Formats: sequence, structure tokens, C-alpha cells
Amino acid sequence: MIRSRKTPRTLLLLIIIFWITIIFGLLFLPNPFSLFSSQKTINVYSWTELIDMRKVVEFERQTGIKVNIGYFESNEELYSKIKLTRGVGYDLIVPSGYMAEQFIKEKDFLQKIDKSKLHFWPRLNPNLLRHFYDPENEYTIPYMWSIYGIGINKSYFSPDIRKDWSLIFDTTVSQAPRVLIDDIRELMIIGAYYLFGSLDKIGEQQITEIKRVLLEQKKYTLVYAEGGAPYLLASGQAPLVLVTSPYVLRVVAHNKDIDFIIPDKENPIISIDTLVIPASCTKQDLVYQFINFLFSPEVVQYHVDQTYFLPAVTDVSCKEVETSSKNILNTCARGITKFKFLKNVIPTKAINEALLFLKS
Amino acid sequence: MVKSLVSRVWLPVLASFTYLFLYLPIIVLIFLSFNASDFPFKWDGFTLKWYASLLHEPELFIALKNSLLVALTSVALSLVMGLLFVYCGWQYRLYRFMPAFLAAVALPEIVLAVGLLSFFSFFSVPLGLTTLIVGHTLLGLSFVIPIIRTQFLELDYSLTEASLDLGASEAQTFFKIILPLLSPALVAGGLLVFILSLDDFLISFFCSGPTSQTLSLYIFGMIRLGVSPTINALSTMLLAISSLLVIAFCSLNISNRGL
Amino acid sequence: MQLFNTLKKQASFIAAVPALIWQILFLYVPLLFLLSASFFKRWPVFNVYDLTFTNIAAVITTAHFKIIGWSLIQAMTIATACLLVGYPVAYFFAVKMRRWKNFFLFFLMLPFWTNFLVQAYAWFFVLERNGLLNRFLLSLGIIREPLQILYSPFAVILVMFYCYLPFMILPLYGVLEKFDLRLIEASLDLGATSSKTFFKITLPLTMSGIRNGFLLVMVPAFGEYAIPAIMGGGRYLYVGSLISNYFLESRDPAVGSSFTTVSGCVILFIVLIISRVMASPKQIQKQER
Repeated sequence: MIRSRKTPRTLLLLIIIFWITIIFGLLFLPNPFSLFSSQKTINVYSWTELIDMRKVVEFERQTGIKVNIGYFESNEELYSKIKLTRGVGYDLIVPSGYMAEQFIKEKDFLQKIDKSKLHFWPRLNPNLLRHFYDPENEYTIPYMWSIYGIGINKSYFSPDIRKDWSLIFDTTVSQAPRVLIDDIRELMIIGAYYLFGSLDKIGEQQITEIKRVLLEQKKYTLVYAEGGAPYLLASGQAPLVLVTSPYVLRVVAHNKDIDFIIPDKENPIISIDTLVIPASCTKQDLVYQFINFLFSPEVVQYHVDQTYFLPAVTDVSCKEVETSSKNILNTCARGITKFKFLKNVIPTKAINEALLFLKS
Repeated sequence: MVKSLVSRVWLPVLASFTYLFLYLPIIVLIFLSFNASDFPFKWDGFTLKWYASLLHEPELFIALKNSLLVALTSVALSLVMGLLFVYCGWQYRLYRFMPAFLAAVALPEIVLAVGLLSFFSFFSVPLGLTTLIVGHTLLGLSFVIPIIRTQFLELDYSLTEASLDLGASEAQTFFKIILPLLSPALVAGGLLVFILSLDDFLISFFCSGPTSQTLSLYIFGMIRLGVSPTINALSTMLLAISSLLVIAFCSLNISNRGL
Repeated sequence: MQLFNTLKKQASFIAAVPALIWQILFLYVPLLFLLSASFFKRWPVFNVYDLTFTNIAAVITTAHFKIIGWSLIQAMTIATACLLVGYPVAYFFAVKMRRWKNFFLFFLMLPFWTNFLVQAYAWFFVLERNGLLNRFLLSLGIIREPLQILYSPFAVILVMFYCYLPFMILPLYGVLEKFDLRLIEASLDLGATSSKTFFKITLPLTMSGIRNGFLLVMVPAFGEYAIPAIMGGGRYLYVGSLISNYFLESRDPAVGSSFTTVSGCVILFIVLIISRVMASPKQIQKQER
């Protein structure tokens, strides 16, 4: 079986190039299994929880349109993954507030929305429209939103504690073990709001101040994560959490000791999760069908009941939960007209430095 | 054998403690998956409701389907390419390049995952199941090729010679003689790659797209959302399934060897 | 026709070479990408190429090296712990329990066959404040208040030790199983004590298994992301978490590439050193010639 090894070099090279082209070409092949199903499909990229698979399955059954959903854990993860493919391959994305702003700023990244195709537009809460990132709502549709606040386990605090951000950020007010949100960017902006009241002049000095406050916090911080918060709060391991409303409200329902405090009730810090359509999407009909489905009262009610997010439409009710902010939350916060948003005012380099400073 | 204190007492003690250590968390997990209460430390009664709720999770089945697809394809690709490399490559002294396959094991997987991500983004390759298969096959080759080669080196060449002398063609020799002789290595390698691919987290985490949710990513997502009894039920089920698979495989092996 | 014949002659080459191509295309080229991205100012996707050392400079800071250092120390601790526990266990089964060894080994490996995330998750219920361990220690009166074990570096090390132990036991078992016990007998017959026998005969001859196991544990432990993410509480950064952060959370994949390159070089360097230190006697012989 031993062969002569005197083979022409060029032939070997050609074989190598042949294989490289084949293997490389395979990468770009569309998923062969999707070719077998000649269904109409759309690809959606969303936060976990915002679009429940059970409702997606319902939609698929009703319309015959296949929906592929991918979930991301953080806004930045969304940004990086979308950036890599320049939005190609996705038909619907669900970023939150400041990420939507980022996408809009990129030229030709998103396509304009045809509001005539959206039957629910009149039902949207007008307070959630016309914000700084999209004044005419040409690109974004507000879908769900949530309010940043403090969850506490009342049995660990006296009833007359201060109900504002200093509960978390000022270690002289409370030294309880706490849980903070994972995203360093969001943490810093909320810290900025606490320290300076507005995001107008955040320079070097202010950033150093924010970093100092966060570092002081770290001693008492148990975990940096949103997901673990409900359990840790209820079990008393971390009686203080900085998190968005949905994560605490779902525990309040089962546990009388838990409370959710909204600092600055008339002008709270919020986050709106919006729907946007990348410019590369060509299946607008299918996408609009899906969006209309998502906004149907029954589907919105389902999501609200399951996740305790606040709906963007006005004709859905929020569960009655007993908290100190129940006047706001039980009415789906429809009455609030002034909001503070998380904006991208701190440069990336500073954020990275802060991350290393805090956690190394 | 000298029966010193060490071998009489300490070794068995250590071994027993290791067993205890390995099984303790799992037993707790299985136990709690039948707990009716939401919170783990109030035993509220025996229930199967968490298992039932799993059956209604469409996401789980999609993730499972994707993971299996990727795993099986990666196993097939690794085995075929690996076998051909070892078998057909020795004439061209391609085994000189075997150290090239070590890098996938000498570097942490996160470096590979991130490198693949950069590579795919540079060429604007759409991220999905195909890219996952590429990554897993990459890992698979590094494990499969050394295993097959070790077995290959132990092959008795005289068997091949005899077969050819008796008039069999090369292809026949390959399929009827060589392949069966190499099958232990192929099976071991295949199983290893299968488990590696199902278990893999880092490559899926970096190189997945909306159509490629895998089991590991699904579990990770659920764990991130916090402790929940549904995860306990899912974990117990996965444990049971993998144990059954391994037991089945081992008993097949034992019966084969008996022949 | 002639072309077909020539191709037929090279059929073996055509069949054999894809594996190598795969490896080069998907491992070495991406590594090259990472290396070169470390030196370019902007992410190549934006088509801006500016040769610069700022990316590397951004990574050569105390903070970064602290993180690399801690991850390295952690990885070596875990590998050593696995070795100290794994070797006696493997020895016990391979040498002492010859008849039942497969049976026991099978059950030892069984937890290993599940998804490692599930394995890590299982520790939640043991380590948390209301968990098994605390309850056990409280009931024995060893501690008065529950310990905060979860979400600490100790929890991370413990869980990684748990998940990586089989990686150490398997190679050790493989080497010990093939070990010729008559050598031990001979040594004892010639008057050596058991400990001398162990250190001068058994240990050096099983060194290849030790080295493989050590590296199989240390290298992945160095770049681990999932377990610190679940168990660590996000309070400290490890190499894995930081790399993931650079690529998926901060908008700076160029610096991320430099950090990955630097970390990769560090671990490769350590691997080379360990391979040297833990060389098996045959290799030492080869080198001495």
C-alpha cells in the first residue's frame, strides 16, 4: 500500500485550495434544515422574559409563520452581536431605551415604522412616546417598561427609613447586604443621578466620585445580578436590592415582608423596552403581523401577569400588589409624565476603567 | 502487598469521602425537585408538578433539538475527518502535523471561542447552528485524532497484507478489516465528542445566533434568572437520561467484549 | 481521463487533508486574527486599520495583571487539590481494588456525565445560607451563625474542584491501571520502604498521567467563565469574565483581543514550564542524550 510520494506540488496545493473553498463555503450555507420547511420565518432577538415562548407557539399556530427567538442577557450583548452582523439576519429586535438611541444613531441601521400597519397605536400610553431618543417615534415602538427602584425586606429595616437612593448608595444609612444590578454602565448612571441629580455635566471628577461610591458599596454587596434578587430578597440573605420593578413585584405577591420603593416618585428612573426593525429586514408583512399579535390585549395581559413588567398600552390592567408605591404600580404607572432615562453619557473607556477598578 | 495503615484505612476513607462529596449535591437536587414548595427549605410535600411544567416549555425542546443536532453532526464530522486523516494520511507523513491538533487543548476554550467570534465577524458569517458545529468539530478533532492514532498504531499490518493477498480490494480491506479493528477507538472518540458538544457552553455562548439556542445556554439562562424548582426537575431529568445512556453503553460494551 | 487518474492516485491525500485544513482555518487563522486585532486600533469590521500599540498598552496594567494572576493562582490551586485527592483515589481503585475497579470507576464518573452547569447549580442548595452545609455545621454547634459561603471566591474554587476532579482522575487511572505492580513488589523485596518505593518508583513512572491530568484541569480552569458567573456573584473579575466582558459588554473588542492574546501567552508559557517540570523519565532520558 505504500505509494510513491513523488506527487506534483501544484496538485497538492490545488487540493488544499479546493478544500478550503468547500469548507469555507459551507459556513455561508443557509441552515439546510430550514430549506426543507418552506414556511415563512422571522428571526427575533429579545430580552429573556419579554416574549414568552408559549405565546410565540400560539402565534405560529394561528398564522403559520415560524418565529425563531434568540434571547440575550444584557443590552451590550445585544449590541455586540448585532454589530457583528450589522443587523442582517434579524427581523425584529427588542432593545431598551439607551440602546435604541445607539441603534438610531447608526446610519441606516433601522428602518422606519409604518404606523398605519400597527392597529394598536392609539392604545399606546402617550407618556411613553416622543422621548429624546426618537422624538417622532419613527423607529421605535414602546413595548414594555419598568421602573428602577429599591426592593427591601421590611423585617430587616425600621419603618421610618429614608425611602430614596441613599438607602443603597450611602453606606452610613444602611449596611445591609445587598444585591445590585449587573450592568456597570447602568449602575454608574444611577449613581450619577443619586449624586448629581442630572446627567448634564458628567466629567472626570464626577466619574471619580461615582467610582468611589460604588467601591464603598462593594463591601456590602453580596451579588451583582438581577436574576438572583427575588430569592435572596425573600430569604433575607440580601434584604436590600437595586433592581427594576418586575423582579421585586413578583416576590411581593408571595411574601408580605417585601416592599418596593420608588425614589423620586414623580420623576422616576425608567427603562423602556422598545421594538425596532433592522433596515435589512425584508419580511415586513410577517413582522407587522407578529407585532400586532404581541400588542393584542390578551397577549400583553399574559406577559404583564407573568413578569410584572409595565405595559405600554393603556387598556391592560396591572395586578394589585401591596407596596409603598402601590398607587403608582397598581395603575401601571399611567399617571407619571416625567421620566429620567439612562443615557449613554459616560465614555466606554471610563466605564471599562471603572469596571476594572471595582472588581479586580 | 504491604498492608500499612495508609492502604488499610486512609485510602478507603478518602475514596468514600470522595464518593460522598461527588454525590451529595446531586442527591440534594433530586430530593428538592420533588418539593412542592417554591422555596427550597420548606418541605411542602411530594409533587411532580415541576416535571409536568417542563413538558410545557417549548423553549426546552427547541434547545434540546438544537443541541442534539449539533452534537451528532460534530461527532460525524470529527470521526470521518479524523479517521481519514489518520488512515489515509500516514502515507504522506501527515502525522508529523499531529502536534497541530494539540493547541485546542493547550489553550483555554474561551480563547478559541473568542477567536472564532472574531473570525466569523470579520467574514460576516451568519452566526447559527453551522458556526456551532464548526467550533465543536474543532474541539472534537483534537480528541478524536490522538485516540484513533493510538489504536491505529497497534494495528497488526499483517492482517491487511493477508487481506490484500487473498484478493480483496483496498476499499474492501478498509471496510471489512480496518474499520472493525478501529471501532473501539471510534466509539470512544465519538462518545467523548458527543458529551463534549452537549456540555459545551463557551463556544455556544459566543458564537450563537437567534436560531441556535442550545441546552447549555438554556440552562444557563434559567440559572441566571434565579433559583427555581423547574431547574431542579430539569437537572434531575438530565441526570437520569445521561445515566441511562452510559449504563446502556457500558452494558453493550461488556457484552461485546464477552463475545 | 488522465486528470481523473491523477486524482485517483492522490485520493488518499484528498481524503486526509480536510482535518488539517479545518484545524488551520478555524483554529490558527482565528488565533492570528486575535493576535493582529491586538495591534490594530479599530475592530477590523469597521475597516479601519491603524497599527498601534495602544491596545497592548491598555492591557499592560496592574489591574489586568492582578486578574490574570488571581485566575492563574486559582487554576493551580484547583489543579493541585484535584491531584492531591485524585491520585490516592485513582491509586486505590486501580491498584487496590483490581476486581471491582471498573464498577467503582463507573459510579465515580456518573456525575461527570451530566451537564456541568447542572453540577454547579446543585451546589447552590448545599452552600447557601439556609443550605445543607450551614445547617449541618449549625446543628453540630461548630458555628453559631450561618456562614456566607455562596458568592465568594471559596465557592468558586470548591465548585470548580468538584467539576474538574473527574478530569484529573481519568488520566491518572489510565496510567495507574497499566502500571506494572511487580516493580513495586521488586522494590519492596529489595528492602525499600513503601514511601521510598512510592516516591522513587511509582510517582516518576506515572508522571505522564499526573502531567496530563494537571494540565487538563489547569488550562480550562484558567479561562473558566460560567462557574464564576453563577457562583462568584460578580464581585471579582476573572480572566474568563473579563474576556467575555470585553467582547460582549464593553464596546472594545480590540482591547479584548489584546487581553486574550496576553492571557493566552501567559497560560501557554505556564503549560510549557509545567510540561518541563513534570516530564516523565523517558522524556528526561531523551533530553539528556
